[in-house]
Amino acid sequence: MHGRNIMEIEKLVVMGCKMYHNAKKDLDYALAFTELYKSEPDKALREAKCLKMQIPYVLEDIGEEDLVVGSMQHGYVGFSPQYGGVYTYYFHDDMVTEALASLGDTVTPEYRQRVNEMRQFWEKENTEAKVEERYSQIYPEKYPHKSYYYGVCRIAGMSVDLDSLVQNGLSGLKARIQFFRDQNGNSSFYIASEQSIDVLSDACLLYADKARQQMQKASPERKAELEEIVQTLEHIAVHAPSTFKQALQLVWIYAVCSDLMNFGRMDNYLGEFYARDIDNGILTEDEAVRYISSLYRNILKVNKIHDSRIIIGGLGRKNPQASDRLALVLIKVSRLIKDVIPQLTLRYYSGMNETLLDETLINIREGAVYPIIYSDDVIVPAVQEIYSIDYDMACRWVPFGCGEYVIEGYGAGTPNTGVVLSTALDALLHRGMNSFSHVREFEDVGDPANFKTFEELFQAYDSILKPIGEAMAYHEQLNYEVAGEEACYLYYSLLTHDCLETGKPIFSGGCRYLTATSEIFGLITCADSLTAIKHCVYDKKIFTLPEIIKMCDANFEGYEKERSILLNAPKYGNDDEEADNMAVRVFNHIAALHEEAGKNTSLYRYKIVSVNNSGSAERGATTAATPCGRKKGQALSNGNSPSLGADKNGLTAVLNSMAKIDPVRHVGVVHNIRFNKDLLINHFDKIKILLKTFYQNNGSQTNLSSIGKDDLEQALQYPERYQNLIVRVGGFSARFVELSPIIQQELLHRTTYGEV
Amino acid sequence: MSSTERITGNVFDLQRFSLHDGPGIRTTVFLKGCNLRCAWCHNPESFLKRPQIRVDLKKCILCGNCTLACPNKVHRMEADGPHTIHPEACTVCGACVDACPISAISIVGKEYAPHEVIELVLKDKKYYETSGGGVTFSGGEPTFQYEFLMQILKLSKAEGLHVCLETNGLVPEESLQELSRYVDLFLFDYKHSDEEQHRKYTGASNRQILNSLHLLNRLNRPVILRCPIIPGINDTPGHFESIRLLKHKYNNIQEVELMPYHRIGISKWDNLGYSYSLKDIEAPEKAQISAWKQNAGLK
Repeated sequence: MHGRNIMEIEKLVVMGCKMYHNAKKDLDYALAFTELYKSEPDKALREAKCLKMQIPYVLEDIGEEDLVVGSMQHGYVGFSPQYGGVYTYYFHDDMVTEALASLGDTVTPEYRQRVNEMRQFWEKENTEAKVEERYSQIYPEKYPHKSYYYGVCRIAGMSVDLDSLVQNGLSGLKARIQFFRDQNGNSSFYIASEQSIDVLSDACLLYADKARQQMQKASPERKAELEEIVQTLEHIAVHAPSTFKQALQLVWIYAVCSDLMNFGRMDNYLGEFYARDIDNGILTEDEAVRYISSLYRNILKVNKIHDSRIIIGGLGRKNPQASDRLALVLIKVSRLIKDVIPQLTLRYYSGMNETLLDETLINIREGAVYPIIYSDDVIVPAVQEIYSIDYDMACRWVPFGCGEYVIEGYGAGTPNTGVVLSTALDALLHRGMNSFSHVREFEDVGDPANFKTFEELFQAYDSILKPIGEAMAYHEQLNYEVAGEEACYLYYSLLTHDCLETGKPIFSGGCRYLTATSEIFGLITCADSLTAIKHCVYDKKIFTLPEIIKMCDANFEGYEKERSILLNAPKYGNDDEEADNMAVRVFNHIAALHEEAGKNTSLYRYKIVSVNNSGSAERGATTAATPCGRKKGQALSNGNSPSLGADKNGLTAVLNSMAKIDPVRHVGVVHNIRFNKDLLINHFDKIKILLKTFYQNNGSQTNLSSIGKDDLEQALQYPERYQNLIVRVGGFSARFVELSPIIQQELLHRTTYGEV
Repeated sequence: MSSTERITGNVFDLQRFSLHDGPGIRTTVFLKGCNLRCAWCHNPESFLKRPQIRVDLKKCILCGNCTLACPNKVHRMEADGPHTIHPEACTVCGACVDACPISAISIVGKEYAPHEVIELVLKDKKYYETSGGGVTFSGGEPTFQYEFLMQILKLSKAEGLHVCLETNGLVPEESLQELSRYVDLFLFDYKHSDEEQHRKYTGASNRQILNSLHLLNRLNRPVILRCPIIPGINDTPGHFESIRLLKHKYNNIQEVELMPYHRIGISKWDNLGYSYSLKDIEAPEKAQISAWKQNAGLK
């Protein structure tokens, strides 16, 4: 979920969506929506009114096999908390222009005029433009947009308290609003919150009607299903859910209407419903599998491949036994529906039900990439320290998207900035110029030939990175600030603690832990490059720094021998003190830079993540050769995984290297570990012990996979036979055959661990 | 103390996350030097106790730089190859390693002090503890560097590690008795039951080896018997029968592992400048391996 490139892809997906009704009807809707928007000056009431108009319009029909119903397609204009238009109120000018053109002479000149006025209005009334404008008042450049750091505008990664939703139901949430209104006095925020709940109730009833209509033409079996769907929807429109199916449906309707993309600790908030229904004989496991499969298909339809987390396991669940029972069903469905999402995520902890880990490893052995495993033993204490919170609050941590931690129901942590360390180093070695694009990126901090010691070099590295921290932190702060000025994000405020309690919307002081994250790219590439320089230039004096720069500039052509010396310099991922210490140093340096910059803002914390998705390969394609021996265009390192193919000392060594990164210096890292399938078949117990030992000893996360190099080579050769081969790219999963060649090559070159 | 401190040994590999050389997750340390010359050996880089050069002949681009750099004519090359290696005269000066433009030449074997080996081994201690694993000393024949081995065995036990020793059994009785105090499990190679054949294919009689096995039984030291089976050499009814009898006779033998012949090590011989005599032997099929197991009375 990071980086400009991903944002662009997401925008394209939005652009590519078909017109929902027809061009004229959609334009009429856009005009009406715009008028409504203009007519209400109060941001809370405006949002409620807009939702009331928008939601019935964007909801789509029930699919033929749906058991959990609800889907939507955003229009040309609307309010989108997260993905419809990326940021608050959105307007797709190109789609409007295209629709208008398609109508030709069928509309009057006055109508055209109205549409054009609408376009002019939204050109200014644009949240992103407002952020940019305010940013430029402080910083001369419009935006942080260099090749080695960036900022994007959005709200992403919301993780709300869905337990509150299913426990209270819509009526209970209304009662909560009333309770706090009585305490704090009335306000448009409370009135609008109440209205937004009515919109959800109406959405339930609208779907109940749709289901009823479908019953007329349905088969007897489907009719029975639809009848149950009607009952479920009519119940949850008013009452708190009392069954698993009702609770699941309520969560999904809420997600559809609110653009929620991450589904939190599902086994925690649905576990008791599940266990109770099973024990009372009103639900069978098979039925639950079918309903969860329907949920999975809905999530797939929304297709947010960098999000869609479902969390299971972990400390602090209210009923661990009931939760575990549901968690096992979720794991099973991830095995049955082997696909790229949802990103099922297991929070491991010492003493947990072993079956969950066993079933997880069976999934991996059978070619699934889920669940991803995180270690509560490591992360809960780290989160306590990072956020200065107690144990119970820390247990609420969840990773969203590609793996950024937030406190579920108490925080937001949109990841809107990033730094490409390998590019920063490249520019440093070229007197401020990116040697791939030949664009000057920053002031000349000196001739590399004059760095007499490694410490002088590192000081220069520090001096070029320092100024960007402040700019990025301010950008993150503005993202929240402007979002809060534009809207209340009513649905998220409703399920985020302290908002109703204090009468303040989520981004206007209501949220307790308003944090932000910055994604680091090329971290290990940069660290390994610095190690190679330190080792070969300053310690062993094999080359001079200008010589290494010359080799990189030649992309090592004619310098094969020299390149092999650089490749043979110590590398992170081998449990080598020298290389690992450098990785820790580079990591801590960029972490501290963000932490310090965050202190000068209204952000609760500003932390780094090292959770790259396909960006490590994509950015590598535009990165010059690096002193670690990596050639021009090759993928950068991914997350906290070693440089491609650099880990040569066995699995324990790579895990030991990974465990050296201090878990309190970040809010998310990824470790890609690929086994040979035979290893998991022949040594299941040893692999399990290996992983448990890692999770208990500072190992925070693993992306496991058992898809070997052979499989990938075959898939390249015979893509038609490997349509369903799912691979983990870092922070997300994808179908291998659909990935771009550079990402396929990156995956091919990752190390596969087999039997020694 | 000072005398033992000075002891160093030659190690040619240290494999972490080793799953096949004893229980649990282990690190296997390969000591250089062997007192046998088994024709099928897949670790021929372990023959010599001292370091030696190795050329990756598949990688070699026949540039000839090494022939010019070497003062002792270890590397020879006709016009357009082939590149042949004559290790007898090699002093391991490293000139060829530096001269090779594509890093195809390396030195096998590195000198370590005992504590250096143990420091590396201890890096995975937490994995040994949770998996019931430990350290395995292999070779070559690890007892061939007896004093060095004794030092690392003692240090391992002082660290509380579970210790496996892989041996061919060609060890003086006193030495074996002494070192057995520091070994939890022996991985004991048993290659041929016929003394003459043993001599022919390994270069030594099996008499001492059988004595060693007997001694370990007397000392009640646990043994896993590891039997390489080479088609046409020891896949005979008599040899399988003798394996079965040994298992029956010695109750310290916990397990018998058949190690079917494979060809993975062949290129290593060429890369070291040795000639491999079993080039025509094919690796057995799965069905063949199952039949062998049955013959040896194994499941």
